[in-house]
Amino acid sequence: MTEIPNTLNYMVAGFLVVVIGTLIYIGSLIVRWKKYSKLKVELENLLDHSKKQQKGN
Amino acid sequence: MNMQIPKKLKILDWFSFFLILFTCWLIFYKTPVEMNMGLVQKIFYFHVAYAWIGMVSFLVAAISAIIFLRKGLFIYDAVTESAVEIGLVFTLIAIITGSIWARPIWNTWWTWDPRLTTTSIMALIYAGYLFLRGSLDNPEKRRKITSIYSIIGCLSVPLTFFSIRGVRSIHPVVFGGDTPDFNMDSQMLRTMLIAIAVFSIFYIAVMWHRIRLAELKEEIEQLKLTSEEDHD
Repeated sequence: MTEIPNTLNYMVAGFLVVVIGTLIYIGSLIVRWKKYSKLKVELENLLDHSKKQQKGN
Repeated sequence: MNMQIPKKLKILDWFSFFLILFTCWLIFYKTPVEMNMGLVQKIFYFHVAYAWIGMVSFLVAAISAIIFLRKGLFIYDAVTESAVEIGLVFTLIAIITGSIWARPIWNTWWTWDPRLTTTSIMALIYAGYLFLRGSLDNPEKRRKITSIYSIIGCLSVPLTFFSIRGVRSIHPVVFGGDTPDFNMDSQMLRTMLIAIAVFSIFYIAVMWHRIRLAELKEEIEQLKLTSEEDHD
């Protein structure tokens, strides 16, 4: 009977690449979403402020 | 645009999360160990699913780009951009896992086999798409040029898929192939199909999130334009 080769380390490495790679991408989506949400609020505030200023003038 | 994550998307997120856990349980506990390769063969279920979704994603990008060029609606450009980005991530993970799988089986991390070469070229083409997109300032020009680029780039997808059919290659042919050193029983085949289906659901969830991000970016661009007009 042939012995099954011990390739456990490679399996763990491959699984870690899948998990870490996927999590990094999901993390990048979350970071970008937060960054753009903040920027959107800032721009909206800026526009509101300039509109009020225009009305005041 | 509603900043809250839609309820349907939240359900899809959790649904795909639990399905992935179920698939991992199937892969590690229910599917037999391949006799010639040992435990490393279990990477195969992720590797095939990620490579498959990568290619499907590039096809989605090309179809969406064609529709964008015909209709000119922003949403199709957002789909193209999202599909290319996610397709590239999935393809890169497939390339790295393939390399790890190859090390104990082929005794090398990398070889210029037709499949490996065409997959690398495909990944480089789509990395080029993202660089090109980032380098063009004019939104209209950017959308048109990158849409044409993604349609032309899509030619690399069938080239990659068929690269190991009809030519000498050490890469196993999973779909419709007959590779002698690759003993896949019915249980393994079932797990592979489940993994592809589950990661496809996960792909839809990630695409949805990425399209929402593209919409948010578009809103910011519009706000910037309005703000610049106000200043003028």
